[in-house]
Amino acid sequence: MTIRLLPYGQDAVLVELPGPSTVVPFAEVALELPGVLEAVTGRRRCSSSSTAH
Amino acid sequence: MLVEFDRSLTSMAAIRAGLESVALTERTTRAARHVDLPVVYDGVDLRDVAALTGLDEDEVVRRHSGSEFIVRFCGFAPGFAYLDGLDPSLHVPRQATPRAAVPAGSVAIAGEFAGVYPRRSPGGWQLLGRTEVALWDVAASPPALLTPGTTVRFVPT
Repeated sequence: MTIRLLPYGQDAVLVELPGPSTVVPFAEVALELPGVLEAVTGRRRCSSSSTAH
Repeated sequence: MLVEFDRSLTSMAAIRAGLESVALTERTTRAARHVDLPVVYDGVDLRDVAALTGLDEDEVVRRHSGSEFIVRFCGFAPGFAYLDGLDPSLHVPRQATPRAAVPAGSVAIAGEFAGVYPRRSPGGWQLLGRTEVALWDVAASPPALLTPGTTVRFVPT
């Protein structure tokens, strides 16, 4: 499977995922990889108004 | 998804290789964890939500409890999960002026999301009801009842 990775600084990478249903599986795999500190997921269309509590 | 890593332990290439090896079909078809949350639909904003949507209160409850939600991400407070899957007819704005204190267990909606306030806290979402289920328990593992990928259904009681 080919996925798109965009470097984010020197110690992080943004991963463009195939679809919403793949977010959790990819995050789980990422967290299992040696050296990974965190996998932060979220919806692409987030705004401060929609995510305010 | 943002992946942060320790450059002394791995590399961009290793992460790419790891993610490209995901057996996606197997992982996305497995059963997700599911939580049913019993709800008393007596929220102080139920009437206003009905007015905003042009529905009666019973129909608001029917549509809210008739959807299956999925936790997309967590934030704001420990145990607070942003639930995707809200019926589009229930997409309503936040309160113009947030409340200083929303009771713990409040079942709420705002914009395209639904959620439950795990603890008493400030908040601006529209309150539909309440649940007695604990959303955050430091003695549990994990402490958060709702984690990304968990499916949720609200059950009127």
